[in-house]
Amino acid sequence: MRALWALLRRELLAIYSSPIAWVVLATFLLLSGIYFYEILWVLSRPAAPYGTPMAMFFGGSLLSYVPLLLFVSAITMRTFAEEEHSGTIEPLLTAPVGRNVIVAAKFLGAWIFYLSLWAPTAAYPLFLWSRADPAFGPIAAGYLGVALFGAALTALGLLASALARTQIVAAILSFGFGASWLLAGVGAAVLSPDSLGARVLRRASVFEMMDRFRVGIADSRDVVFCVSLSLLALLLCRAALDVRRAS
Amino acid sequence: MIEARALSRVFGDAVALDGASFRAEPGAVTGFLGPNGAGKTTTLRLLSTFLVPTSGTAVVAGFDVRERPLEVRRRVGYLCENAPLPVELRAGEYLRVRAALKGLDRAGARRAVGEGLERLALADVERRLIGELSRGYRQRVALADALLGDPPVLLLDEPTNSLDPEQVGAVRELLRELATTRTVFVSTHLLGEAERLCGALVVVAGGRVVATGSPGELAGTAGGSLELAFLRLTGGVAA
Repeated sequence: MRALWALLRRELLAIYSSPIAWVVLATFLLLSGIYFYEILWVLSRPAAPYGTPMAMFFGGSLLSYVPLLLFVSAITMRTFAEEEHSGTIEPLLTAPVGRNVIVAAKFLGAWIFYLSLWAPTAAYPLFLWSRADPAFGPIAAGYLGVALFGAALTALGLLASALARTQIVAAILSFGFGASWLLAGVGAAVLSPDSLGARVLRRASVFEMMDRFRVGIADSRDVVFCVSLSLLALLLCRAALDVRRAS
Repeated sequence: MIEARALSRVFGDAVALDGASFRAEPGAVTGFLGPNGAGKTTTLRLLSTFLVPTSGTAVVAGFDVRERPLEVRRRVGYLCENAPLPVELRAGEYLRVRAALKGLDRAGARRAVGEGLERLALADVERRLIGELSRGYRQRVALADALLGDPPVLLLDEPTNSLDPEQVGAVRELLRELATTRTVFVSTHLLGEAERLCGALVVVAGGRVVATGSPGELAGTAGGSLELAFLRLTGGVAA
Protein backbone atom coordinates (compact mmCIF):
# COMPACT_ATOMS: atom_id res chain seq x y z
CA MET A 1 0.00 0.00 0.00
CA ARG A 2 2.88 2.33 0.83
CA ALA A 3 4.43 1.61 -2.57
CA LEU A 4 1.12 2.33 -4.33
CA TRP A 5 0.76 5.63 -2.48
CA ALA A 6 4.39 6.61 -3.24
CA LEU A 7 3.92 5.85 -6.95
CA LEU A 8 0.55 7.59 -7.07
CA ARG A 9 2.05 10.69 -5.46
CA ARG A 10 4.88 10.65 -8.01
CA GLU A 11 2.36 10.22 -10.83
CA LEU A 12 0.20 13.13 -9.66
CA LEU A 13 3.29 15.35 -9.34
CA ALA A 14 4.29 14.40 -12.88
CA ILE A 15 0.79 15.13 -14.25
CA TYR A 16 0.23 18.43 -12.46
CA SER A 17 3.76 19.71 -13.22
CA SER A 18 3.12 19.17 -16.92
CA PRO A 19 1.91 22.20 -18.95
CA ILE A 20 -0.34 19.86 -20.97
CA ALA A 21 -2.39 19.13 -17.82
CA TRP A 22 -3.10 22.81 -17.23
CA VAL A 23 -3.92 23.42 -20.89
CA VAL A 24 -6.35 20.48 -20.78
CA LEU A 25 -7.89 21.71 -17.52
CA ALA A 26 -8.35 25.28 -18.79
CA THR A 27 -9.72 24.15 -22.17
CA PHE A 28 -12.14 21.68 -20.55
CA LEU A 29 -13.46 24.34 -18.19
CA LEU A 30 -13.82 26.87 -21.01
CA LEU A 31 -15.67 24.43 -23.27
CA SER A 32 -17.87 23.05 -20.49
CA GLY A 33 -18.70 26.61 -19.36
CA ILE A 34 -19.70 27.65 -22.88
CA TYR A 35 -21.68 24.43 -23.32
CA PHE A 36 -23.56 24.92 -20.04
CA TYR A 37 -24.30 28.55 -20.91
CA GLU A 38 -25.69 27.51 -24.29
CA ILE A 39 -27.84 24.83 -22.68
CA LEU A 40 -29.34 27.43 -20.35
CA TRP A 41 -29.86 29.79 -23.28
CA VAL A 42 -31.62 27.11 -25.37
CA LEU A 43 -33.82 26.00 -22.46
CA SER A 44 -34.83 29.58 -21.66
CA ARG A 45 -36.38 30.09 -25.09
CA PRO A 46 -40.16 29.77 -25.45
CA ALA A 47 -39.83 26.83 -27.90
CA ALA A 48 -37.26 25.03 -25.75
CA PRO A 49 -36.88 21.26 -26.17
CA TYR A 50 -37.85 19.00 -23.31
CA GLY A 51 -35.04 18.27 -20.84
CA THR A 52 -33.16 19.48 -17.79
CA PRO A 53 -29.92 21.46 -18.02
CA MET A 54 -27.78 18.83 -16.28
CA ALA A 55 -29.26 15.95 -18.31
CA MET A 56 -28.26 17.80 -21.47
CA PHE A 57 -24.88 18.67 -19.98
CA PHE A 58 -24.02 14.99 -19.40
CA GLY A 59 -23.83 14.10 -23.04
CA GLY A 60 -26.54 15.35 -25.28
CA SER A 61 -24.52 14.85 -28.49
CA LEU A 62 -21.37 13.42 -30.06
CA LEU A 63 -19.74 16.82 -29.48
CA SER A 64 -19.93 16.15 -25.72
CA TYR A 65 -17.70 13.08 -26.02
CA VAL A 66 -15.11 13.81 -28.72
CA PRO A 67 -13.33 16.54 -26.68
CA LEU A 68 -13.20 14.08 -23.76
CA LEU A 69 -11.43 11.53 -25.95
CA LEU A 70 -8.86 14.19 -26.86
CA PHE A 71 -8.35 15.30 -23.25
CA VAL A 72 -7.96 11.77 -21.89
CA SER A 73 -5.56 10.87 -24.71
CA ALA A 74 -3.48 13.98 -23.95
CA ILE A 75 -3.13 12.93 -20.31
CA THR A 76 -2.62 9.19 -20.69
CA MET A 77 -0.23 9.33 -23.67
CA ARG A 78 2.73 10.10 -21.40
CA THR A 79 2.10 7.41 -18.74
CA PHE A 80 4.27 4.66 -20.21
CA ALA A 81 5.45 6.02 -23.59
CA GLU A 82 7.24 8.94 -21.93
CA GLU A 83 8.86 6.63 -19.36
CA GLU A 84 10.08 4.46 -22.25
CA HIS A 85 11.37 7.47 -24.16
CA SER A 86 13.22 9.03 -21.21
CA GLY A 87 14.52 5.68 -19.90
CA THR A 88 12.86 6.10 -16.48
CA ILE A 89 10.88 2.93 -17.19
CA GLU A 90 14.03 1.00 -16.25
CA PRO A 91 14.37 2.12 -12.61
CA LEU A 92 10.57 1.95 -12.35
CA LEU A 93 10.27 -1.67 -13.52
CA THR A 94 13.31 -2.82 -11.54
CA ALA A 95 11.91 -1.45 -8.27
CA PRO A 96 10.74 -4.22 -5.94
CA VAL A 97 7.04 -3.70 -6.57
CA GLY A 98 4.66 -5.78 -8.66
CA ARG A 99 3.70 -4.61 -12.15
CA ASN A 100 0.05 -4.51 -11.00
CA VAL A 101 0.94 -1.83 -8.45
CA ILE A 102 2.71 0.25 -11.11
CA VAL A 103 -0.22 -0.01 -13.54
CA ALA A 104 -2.73 0.74 -10.75
CA ALA A 105 -0.79 3.85 -9.64
CA LYS A 106 -0.61 5.18 -13.19
CA PHE A 107 -4.31 4.50 -13.76
CA LEU A 108 -5.34 6.16 -10.50
CA GLY A 109 -3.13 9.20 -11.21
CA ALA A 110 -4.66 9.76 -14.65
CA TRP A 111 -8.21 9.02 -13.46
CA ILE A 112 -7.89 11.40 -10.52
CA PHE A 113 -6.81 14.07 -13.00
CA TYR A 114 -9.84 13.25 -15.17
CA LEU A 115 -12.11 13.57 -12.12
CA SER A 116 -10.46 16.87 -11.23
CA LEU A 117 -11.50 18.16 -14.67
CA TRP A 118 -15.12 17.57 -13.71
CA ALA A 119 -14.87 18.74 -10.09
CA PRO A 120 -15.28 22.49 -10.86
CA THR A 121 -18.44 21.72 -12.89
CA ALA A 122 -20.14 21.00 -9.55
CA ALA A 123 -20.67 24.77 -9.58
CA TYR A 124 -23.33 24.32 -12.30
CA PRO A 125 -25.81 22.23 -10.26
CA LEU A 126 -25.06 24.50 -7.27
CA PHE A 127 -26.05 27.44 -9.46
CA LEU A 128 -29.24 25.64 -10.51
CA TRP A 129 -30.10 24.78 -6.90
CA SER A 130 -29.70 28.44 -5.95
CA ARG A 131 -32.48 29.33 -8.42
CA ALA A 132 -34.65 26.21 -8.77
CA ASP A 133 -35.09 22.74 -7.36
CA PRO A 134 -33.57 20.19 -9.76
CA ALA A 135 -33.68 16.55 -8.64
CA PHE A 136 -30.47 15.32 -6.98
CA GLY A 137 -30.66 11.71 -8.28
CA PRO A 138 -30.18 12.31 -12.02
CA ILE A 139 -27.34 14.75 -11.33
CA ALA A 140 -25.52 12.23 -9.09
CA ALA A 141 -26.12 9.45 -11.64
CA GLY A 142 -24.79 11.71 -14.41
CA TYR A 143 -21.57 12.28 -12.50
CA LEU A 144 -21.33 8.52 -11.82
CA GLY A 145 -21.69 7.94 -15.56
CA VAL A 146 -18.93 10.37 -16.56
CA ALA A 147 -16.68 8.91 -13.84
CA LEU A 148 -17.17 5.35 -15.12
CA PHE A 149 -16.87 6.38 -18.77
CA GLY A 150 -13.67 8.25 -17.84
CA ALA A 151 -12.27 5.23 -15.97
CA ALA A 152 -12.66 3.02 -19.03
CA LEU A 153 -11.25 5.70 -21.37
CA THR A 154 -8.30 6.22 -19.01
CA ALA A 155 -7.57 2.49 -18.88
CA LEU A 156 -7.72 2.30 -22.70
CA GLY A 157 -5.34 5.30 -22.83
CA LEU A 158 -2.90 3.53 -20.52
CA LEU A 159 -3.02 0.45 -22.72
CA ALA A 160 -2.30 2.61 -25.78
CA SER A 161 0.65 4.22 -23.98
CA ALA A 162 2.06 0.81 -23.02
CA LEU A 163 1.76 -0.41 -26.62
CA ALA A 164 3.22 2.68 -28.30
CA ARG A 165 6.84 3.79 -28.38
CA THR A 166 6.14 7.50 -28.66
CA GLN A 167 3.63 9.80 -27.01
CA ILE A 168 2.08 10.93 -30.28
CA VAL A 169 1.42 7.34 -31.39
CA ALA A 170 0.01 6.62 -27.92
CA ALA A 171 -2.36 9.60 -28.22
CA ILE A 172 -3.57 8.53 -31.69
CA LEU A 173 -4.05 4.93 -30.55
CA SER A 174 -5.87 6.04 -27.40
CA PHE A 175 -8.19 8.27 -29.46
CA GLY A 176 -8.76 5.34 -31.82
CA PHE A 177 -9.78 3.04 -28.95
CA GLY A 178 -12.19 5.65 -27.58
CA ALA A 179 -13.62 6.49 -31.01
CA SER A 180 -14.21 2.78 -31.70
CA TRP A 181 -16.20 2.57 -28.48
CA LEU A 182 -18.27 5.61 -29.47
CA LEU A 183 -18.88 4.16 -32.92
CA ALA A 184 -20.21 0.93 -31.39
CA GLY A 185 -23.43 2.81 -30.73
CA VAL A 186 -23.56 4.11 -34.29
CA GLY A 187 -22.92 0.56 -35.56
CA ALA A 188 -26.00 -0.68 -33.72
CA ALA A 189 -28.16 1.68 -35.78
CA VAL A 190 -27.14 0.15 -39.11
CA LEU A 191 -27.82 -3.45 -38.04
CA SER A 192 -31.20 -5.15 -37.85
CA PRO A 193 -32.68 -3.88 -34.54
CA ASP A 194 -33.38 -7.37 -33.15
CA SER A 195 -30.13 -9.00 -34.23
CA LEU A 196 -27.63 -10.22 -31.62
CA GLY A 197 -24.97 -7.85 -32.97
CA ALA A 198 -27.25 -4.85 -32.58
CA ARG A 199 -28.18 -5.87 -29.04
CA VAL A 200 -24.51 -6.29 -28.06
CA LEU A 201 -23.52 -2.99 -29.65
CA ARG A 202 -26.44 -1.19 -27.98
CA ARG A 203 -25.38 -2.57 -24.62
CA ALA A 204 -21.82 -1.30 -25.28
CA SER A 205 -23.01 2.05 -26.65
CA VAL A 206 -21.72 5.07 -24.76
CA PHE A 207 -24.68 7.13 -25.95
CA GLU A 208 -27.28 4.69 -24.67
CA MET A 209 -25.38 4.19 -21.42
CA MET A 210 -25.13 7.93 -20.79
CA ASP A 211 -28.78 8.38 -21.79
CA ARG A 212 -29.65 6.12 -18.85
CA PHE A 213 -27.26 7.74 -16.37
CA ARG A 214 -28.26 11.31 -17.19
CA VAL A 215 -31.91 10.70 -16.47
CA GLY A 216 -31.05 9.07 -13.15
CA ILE A 217 -30.92 5.36 -14.08
CA ALA A 218 -27.76 3.85 -12.60
CA ASP A 219 -28.06 0.42 -14.24
CA SER A 220 -25.75 -2.12 -12.59
CA ARG A 221 -25.07 -3.65 -16.04
CA ASP A 222 -23.57 -0.33 -17.19
CA VAL A 223 -21.42 -0.18 -14.03
CA VAL A 224 -20.23 -3.78 -14.54
CA PHE A 225 -19.52 -3.10 -18.23
CA CYS A 226 -17.36 -0.02 -17.54
CA VAL A 227 -15.52 -1.67 -14.64
CA SER A 228 -14.91 -4.82 -16.71
CA LEU A 229 -13.66 -2.84 -19.71
CA SER A 230 -11.32 -0.87 -17.41
CA LEU A 231 -9.94 -4.03 -15.79
CA LEU A 232 -9.49 -5.76 -19.14
CA ALA A 233 -7.58 -2.78 -20.55
CA LEU A 234 -5.37 -2.61 -17.41
CA LEU A 235 -4.62 -6.35 -17.57
CA LEU A 236 -3.65 -6.00 -21.24
CA CYS A 237 -1.53 -3.00 -20.31
CA ARG A 238 0.34 -5.09 -17.73
CA ALA A 239 0.76 -7.88 -20.28
CA ALA A 240 2.13 -5.38 -22.82
CA LEU A 241 4.78 -4.32 -20.31
CA ASP A 242 5.80 -7.95 -19.75
CA VAL A 243 5.82 -8.86 -23.44
CA ARG A 244 8.04 -5.93 -24.34
CA ARG A 245 10.70 -7.03 -21.78
CA ALA A 246 10.60 -10.60 -23.07
CA SER A 247 10.59 -9.94 -26.82
CA MET B 1 26.30 -13.59 -5.11
CA ILE B 2 25.63 -13.58 -8.85
CA GLU B 3 25.85 -16.65 -11.03
CA ALA B 4 25.04 -16.40 -14.74
CA ARG B 5 24.42 -19.72 -16.48
CA ALA B 6 24.62 -19.68 -20.29
CA LEU B 7 22.75 -16.38 -20.28
CA SER B 8 21.62 -15.28 -23.75
CA ARG B 9 19.52 -12.48 -25.13
CA VAL B 10 18.48 -11.92 -28.73
CA PHE B 11 16.77 -8.81 -30.14
CA GLY B 12 15.23 -9.78 -33.48
CA ASP B 13 18.20 -11.01 -35.53
CA ALA B 14 20.83 -9.41 -33.29
CA VAL B 15 22.49 -11.54 -30.59
CA ALA B 16 23.30 -9.15 -27.76
CA LEU B 17 24.49 -11.82 -25.33
CA ASP B 18 25.50 -15.33 -26.27
CA GLY B 19 25.69 -17.98 -23.56
CA ALA B 20 27.48 -15.90 -20.91
CA SER B 21 28.48 -17.78 -17.76
CA PHE B 22 30.28 -16.11 -14.88
CA ARG B 23 30.19 -15.59 -11.11
CA ALA B 24 30.56 -12.56 -8.88
CA GLU B 25 30.95 -12.78 -5.12
CA PRO B 26 31.44 -10.47 -2.15
CA GLY B 27 34.98 -9.58 -1.15
CA ALA B 28 36.04 -7.37 -4.03
CA VAL B 29 34.37 -5.31 -6.74
CA THR B 30 33.78 -7.44 -9.86
CA GLY B 31 34.26 -5.51 -13.07
CA PHE B 32 32.31 -6.37 -16.21
CA LEU B 33 34.71 -5.08 -18.81
CA GLY B 34 34.15 -4.81 -22.52
CA PRO B 35 34.13 -2.44 -25.48
CA ASN B 36 31.02 -0.51 -26.51
CA GLY B 37 28.27 -2.83 -27.77
CA ALA B 38 29.79 -5.92 -26.12
CA GLY B 39 26.61 -6.77 -24.21
CA LYS B 40 27.40 -5.19 -20.83
CA THR B 41 24.21 -3.16 -20.44
CA THR B 42 22.06 -6.05 -21.73
CA THR B 43 23.65 -8.32 -19.11
CA LEU B 44 22.91 -5.86 -16.31
CA ARG B 45 19.33 -5.50 -17.57
CA LEU B 46 18.95 -9.29 -17.44
CA LEU B 47 20.46 -9.54 -13.95
CA SER B 48 18.22 -6.71 -12.69
CA THR B 49 15.17 -8.49 -14.23
CA PHE B 50 14.38 -5.51 -16.49
CA LEU B 51 14.73 -7.88 -19.46
CA VAL B 52 13.91 -11.57 -19.66
CA PRO B 53 16.66 -13.89 -21.00
CA THR B 54 16.05 -15.57 -24.36
CA SER B 55 17.77 -18.66 -22.96
CA GLY B 56 19.88 -19.57 -19.94
CA THR B 57 19.35 -17.96 -16.58
CA ALA B 58 21.07 -16.28 -13.64
CA VAL B 59 20.83 -16.59 -9.90
CA VAL B 60 21.10 -13.29 -8.06
CA ALA B 61 21.20 -13.20 -4.24
CA GLY B 62 19.95 -16.79 -4.21
CA PHE B 63 16.96 -16.28 -6.54
CA ASP B 64 16.51 -17.18 -10.18
CA VAL B 65 15.87 -14.10 -12.36
CA ARG B 66 13.31 -16.01 -14.45
CA GLU B 67 11.39 -17.67 -11.65
CA ARG B 68 11.57 -15.18 -8.77
CA PRO B 69 12.14 -11.73 -10.34
CA LEU B 70 10.44 -9.83 -7.50
CA GLU B 71 12.67 -11.52 -4.89
CA VAL B 72 15.71 -10.58 -7.00
CA ARG B 73 14.54 -6.95 -7.21
CA ARG B 74 14.12 -6.83 -3.42
CA ARG B 75 17.82 -7.67 -3.01
CA VAL B 76 19.39 -5.64 -5.79
CA GLY B 77 20.46 -2.01 -5.95
CA TYR B 78 20.60 -1.10 -9.64
CA LEU B 79 22.18 1.89 -11.32
CA CYS B 80 20.91 2.05 -14.91
CA GLU B 81 22.90 3.22 -17.90
CA ASN B 82 22.92 7.06 -18.10
CA ALA B 83 21.03 7.32 -14.80
CA PRO B 84 17.53 8.15 -16.14
CA LEU B 85 15.53 10.09 -13.53
CA PRO B 86 12.15 11.88 -13.48
CA VAL B 87 13.05 15.52 -14.07
CA GLU B 88 9.90 16.90 -12.42
CA LEU B 89 10.82 15.65 -8.93
CA ARG B 90 13.22 17.13 -6.40
CA ALA B 91 16.28 15.02 -5.59
CA GLY B 92 15.25 14.30 -1.99
CA GLU B 93 11.64 13.68 -3.01
CA TYR B 94 12.75 11.13 -5.62
CA LEU B 95 14.88 9.27 -3.09
CA ARG B 96 11.98 9.20 -0.61
CA VAL B 97 9.69 7.73 -3.30
CA ARG B 98 12.33 5.11 -4.11
CA ALA B 99 12.80 4.27 -0.42
CA ALA B 100 9.04 3.68 -0.13
CA LEU B 101 9.12 1.44 -3.22
CA LYS B 102 11.94 -0.54 -1.61
CA GLY B 103 9.72 -1.24 1.37
CA LEU B 104 11.38 1.04 3.92
CA ASP B 105 9.04 2.42 6.57
CA ARG B 106 8.80 6.17 7.11
CA ALA B 107 11.56 6.34 9.75
CA GLY B 108 13.80 3.92 7.87
CA ALA B 109 13.30 5.87 4.65
CA ARG B 110 14.18 9.15 6.32
CA ARG B 111 17.34 7.63 7.77
CA ALA B 112 18.36 5.89 4.52
CA VAL B 113 17.74 8.99 2.39
CA GLY B 114 19.72 11.13 4.84
CA GLU B 115 22.63 8.68 4.70
CA GLY B 116 22.48 8.54 0.91
CA LEU B 117 22.49 12.33 0.59
CA GLU B 118 25.49 12.54 2.93
CA ARG B 119 27.44 9.65 1.35
CA LEU B 120 27.12 11.05 -2.15
CA ALA B 121 27.51 14.72 -1.08
CA LEU B 122 24.00 15.62 -2.26
CA ALA B 123 22.71 17.53 0.77
CA ASP B 124 22.97 20.90 -1.00
CA VAL B 125 20.78 19.75 -3.92
CA GLU B 126 18.17 17.84 -1.91
CA ARG B 127 15.45 20.41 -2.65
CA ARG B 128 16.42 21.10 -6.25
CA LEU B 129 14.50 19.73 -9.22
CA ILE B 130 16.34 16.84 -10.88
CA GLY B 131 15.78 18.54 -14.24
CA GLU B 132 17.96 21.43 -13.04
CA LEU B 133 20.85 19.22 -11.89
CA SER B 134 24.07 18.60 -13.82
CA ARG B 135 24.75 15.11 -15.20
CA GLY B 136 27.23 14.48 -12.40
CA TYR B 137 24.67 15.28 -9.72
CA ARG B 138 22.06 13.13 -11.48
CA GLN B 139 24.52 10.26 -11.54
CA ARG B 140 25.04 10.66 -7.79
CA VAL B 141 21.28 10.78 -7.14
CA ALA B 142 20.87 7.52 -9.11
CA LEU B 143 23.78 5.98 -7.20
CA ALA B 144 22.22 7.04 -3.89
CA ASP B 145 19.00 5.35 -5.06
CA ALA B 146 20.89 2.10 -5.82
CA LEU B 147 22.33 2.10 -2.29
CA LEU B 148 18.97 2.70 -0.55
CA GLY B 149 17.93 -0.14 1.73
CA ASP B 150 21.46 -1.55 1.89
CA PRO B 151 20.91 -4.30 -0.74
CA PRO B 152 23.24 -7.35 -0.70
CA VAL B 153 23.85 -7.08 -4.47
CA LEU B 154 24.75 -3.91 -6.37
CA LEU B 155 24.53 -3.80 -10.18
CA LEU B 156 26.12 -0.60 -11.39
CA ASP B 157 26.31 0.41 -15.05
CA GLU B 158 29.28 2.79 -15.48
CA PRO B 159 28.95 4.20 -11.94
CA THR B 160 31.59 6.92 -12.27
CA ASN B 161 30.18 8.28 -15.53
CA SER B 162 29.99 12.10 -15.58
CA LEU B 163 31.59 12.48 -12.13
CA ASP B 164 34.43 14.91 -11.45
CA PRO B 165 37.84 13.42 -10.44
CA GLU B 166 37.26 14.07 -6.73
CA GLN B 167 33.88 12.31 -6.84
CA VAL B 168 35.31 9.44 -8.91
CA GLY B 169 37.83 8.78 -6.12
CA ALA B 170 35.17 9.00 -3.42
CA VAL B 171 32.79 6.66 -5.26
CA ARG B 172 35.54 4.11 -5.91
CA GLU B 173 36.45 4.19 -2.21
CA LEU B 174 32.79 3.72 -1.27
CA LEU B 175 32.33 0.79 -3.67
CA ARG B 176 35.49 -0.94 -2.44
CA GLU B 177 34.22 -0.60 1.12
CA LEU B 178 30.75 -1.93 0.18
CA ALA B 179 32.28 -4.86 -1.71
CA THR B 180 33.81 -6.28 1.47
CA THR B 181 30.37 -7.53 2.55
CA ARG B 182 28.23 -7.26 -0.61
CA THR B 183 28.39 -8.38 -4.22
CA VAL B 184 29.31 -5.30 -6.24
CA PHE B 185 29.12 -5.85 -10.01
CA VAL B 186 30.28 -2.88 -12.06
CA SER B 187 30.13 -2.58 -15.83
CA THR B 188 32.77 -0.41 -17.49
CA HIS B 189 34.57 0.09 -20.77
CA LEU B 190 37.40 2.01 -19.07
CA LEU B 191 40.55 0.00 -18.39
CA GLY B 192 41.78 2.50 -15.82
CA GLU B 193 38.52 2.16 -13.89
CA ALA B 194 38.76 -1.64 -14.00
CA GLU B 195 42.38 -1.61 -12.86
CA ARG B 196 41.90 0.80 -9.96
CA LEU B 197 38.52 -0.37 -8.71
CA CYS B 198 38.10 -4.08 -9.37
CA GLY B 199 39.55 -7.15 -7.69
CA ALA B 200 38.03 -9.49 -10.27
CA LEU B 201 37.17 -9.02 -13.93
CA VAL B 202 34.79 -10.63 -16.40
CA VAL B 203 35.79 -9.60 -19.93
CA VAL B 204 33.05 -9.62 -22.55
CA ALA B 205 33.26 -9.05 -26.30
CA GLY B 206 30.70 -9.60 -29.04
CA GLY B 207 28.19 -10.89 -26.50
CA ARG B 208 30.52 -13.65 -25.23
CA VAL B 209 32.55 -13.90 -22.04
CA VAL B 210 36.14 -14.16 -23.28
CA ALA B 211 38.09 -14.17 -20.00
CA THR B 212 37.77 -14.03 -16.22
CA GLY B 213 40.37 -13.37 -13.53
CA SER B 214 41.95 -10.63 -11.48
CA PRO B 215 43.40 -7.60 -13.29
CA GLY B 216 46.88 -8.91 -12.39
CA GLU B 217 46.17 -12.36 -13.82
CA LEU B 218 44.78 -10.95 -17.06
CA ALA B 219 47.66 -8.48 -17.41
CA GLY B 220 50.05 -11.40 -16.82
CA THR B 221 48.85 -13.00 -20.08
CA ALA B 222 50.19 -10.01 -22.05
CA GLY B 223 53.48 -9.17 -20.41
CA GLY B 224 51.95 -7.24 -17.54
CA SER B 225 49.79 -4.90 -19.63
CA LEU B 226 46.05 -5.04 -18.96
CA GLU B 227 45.49 -2.81 -22.00
CA LEU B 228 47.28 -5.21 -24.33
CA ALA B 229 45.49 -8.21 -22.78
CA PHE B 230 42.13 -6.44 -23.20
CA LEU B 231 42.83 -5.54 -26.83
CA ARG B 232 43.87 -9.10 -27.62
CA LEU B 233 40.84 -10.59 -25.88
CA THR B 234 38.36 -8.24 -27.50
CA GLY B 235 39.91 -8.32 -30.94
CA GLY B 236 41.23 -4.77 -30.75
CA VAL B 237 44.68 -5.87 -32.08
CA ALA B 238 46.00 -9.11 -33.48
CA ALA B 239 47.38 -11.45 -30.83
